[in-house]
Amino acid sequence: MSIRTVRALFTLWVIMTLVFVATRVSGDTIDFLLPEGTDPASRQAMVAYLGLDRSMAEQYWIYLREFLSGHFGLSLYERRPVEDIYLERLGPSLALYALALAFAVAVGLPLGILAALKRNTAVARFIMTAAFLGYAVPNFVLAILLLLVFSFHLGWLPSAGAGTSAHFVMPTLAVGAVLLAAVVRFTRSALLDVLGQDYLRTARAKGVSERSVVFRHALRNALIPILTVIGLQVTNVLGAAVIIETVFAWPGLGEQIVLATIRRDYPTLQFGVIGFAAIVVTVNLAVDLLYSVADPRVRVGA
Amino acid sequence: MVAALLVLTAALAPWVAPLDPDAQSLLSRLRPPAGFERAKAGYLLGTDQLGRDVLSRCIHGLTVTLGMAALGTAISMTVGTGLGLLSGYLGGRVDDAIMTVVDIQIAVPFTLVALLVIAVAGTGIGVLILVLGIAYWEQYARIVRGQVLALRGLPFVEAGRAIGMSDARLLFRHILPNVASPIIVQATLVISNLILLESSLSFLGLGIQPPTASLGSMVGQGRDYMASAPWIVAAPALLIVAVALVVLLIGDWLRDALDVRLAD
Repeated sequence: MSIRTVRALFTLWVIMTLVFVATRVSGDTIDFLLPEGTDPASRQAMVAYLGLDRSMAEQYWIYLREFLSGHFGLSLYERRPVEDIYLERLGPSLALYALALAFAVAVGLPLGILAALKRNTAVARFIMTAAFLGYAVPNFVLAILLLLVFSFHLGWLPSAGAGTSAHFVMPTLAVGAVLLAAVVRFTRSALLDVLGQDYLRTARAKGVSERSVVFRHALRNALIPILTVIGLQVTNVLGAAVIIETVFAWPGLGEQIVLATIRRDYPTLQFGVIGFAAIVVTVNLAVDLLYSVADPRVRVGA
Repeated sequence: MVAALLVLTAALAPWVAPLDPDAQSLLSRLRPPAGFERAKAGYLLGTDQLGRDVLSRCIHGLTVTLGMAALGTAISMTVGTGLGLLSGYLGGRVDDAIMTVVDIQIAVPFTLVALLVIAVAGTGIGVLILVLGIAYWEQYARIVRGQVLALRGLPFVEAGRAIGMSDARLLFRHILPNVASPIIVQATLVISNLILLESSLSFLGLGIQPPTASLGSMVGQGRDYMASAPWIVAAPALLIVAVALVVLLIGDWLRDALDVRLAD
């Protein structure tokens, strides 16, 4: 196991511990669950049922043991295993994130390359201004404005839910916008950095075609910073997706986390937070490992 | 210019706003902005579902939004700069501990941490300020630590130490002024992020609670009326866009002005 894998696991353990502390420090948890005026005996029974009468150390031990053995607890609201609730919502979320990522890369990479190659022209300035806007506009505001125009004013797209491909359009745009802007900005700057270097002059001098210079030699070396940015943005994208899903009533993971927060459904929220953290940690680890594929000079584990 | 106008409007909200933002009037509910049919004189941007003046609410919401973001920035800047100074200056175990926490904060989408804190501590203005204050402290900590590490070995620091200067004096009188400009640049970025975070949480109904409104909570509460009264949502939403743009532009400008190395 490389040192990076160990670090990732350590991070996850710290997050799990923090979540445990956070959800247990508020002593009045139990009072949110019971109706007002519950008699002390029933209250005591509930406390015992939930295991809240045990010592903190014991609770922590049980918490870790159950989590590691794949028992994540029952939702307080729906009274079924929380992993089942999230499993149902995994598909729609993954589809949305994948589409948003694909959209951002498919549109952002060419635009970034164009902005770098046509530097100081109107086209490049237009692309960069649009990227700046995409970066500046908060994504839930973008989502709301899209809704106002395309659902309520023009009536072209459905405003909530999932199911048909038309349902995908606005959530994908809203989730992908910030990522798209980041990809454009960093593709441009990474490519500009590389384009000025000696080995490209050498390549041109020995008669390599311009297309080959850009795509085979320059872009390949620009890929590392671009990959890094996409990796770093995953945290932001997931954070944004939580809110975007709520706006469009998208039946995904993020909407469930917001619902769990509003309902104070701790087991569901706890699993959601740890699950999302696990996704982010895994993606960052994967990006680290991908470096070595994109650039053989990087030794993973060093 | 625009920035000064926005801040001034926010600061003078009680005097600038044409009407009381919380005054309800059932007779003039859901009136469209001036220039549309059924518009009511005196209500420039129309009224919301309770007959409150949208313009006045936007102006007061702007005050709340900017105020919360400024407060959050002040807290995170103090905490982050302090821990960054310690981390860079002391090194060793302290450094390791602080940087581990920084790594973890980077690894988790902060929206989730915010949701967790709110679920546990409830919705309240104190909780919201706490959440905003801890949201981006690690960005300052990283930058300050890096700068301190670079400065620590420079002759003027060694000279200070050689003449018997105390650690505190060295840190605050000599090192801190040298890291001020990256901190300021970072602050503009953090402010725009905090505006976004506060708006998002209030939008979800987990931030600012009614009847007080921030721009985000106005958008959130107006959602139910998007089909019949789009102006209730559009006005604060566009104002958020304007504020976010202005803050980012100031950030870009400050970075160019203060940091020669980053200018291209």
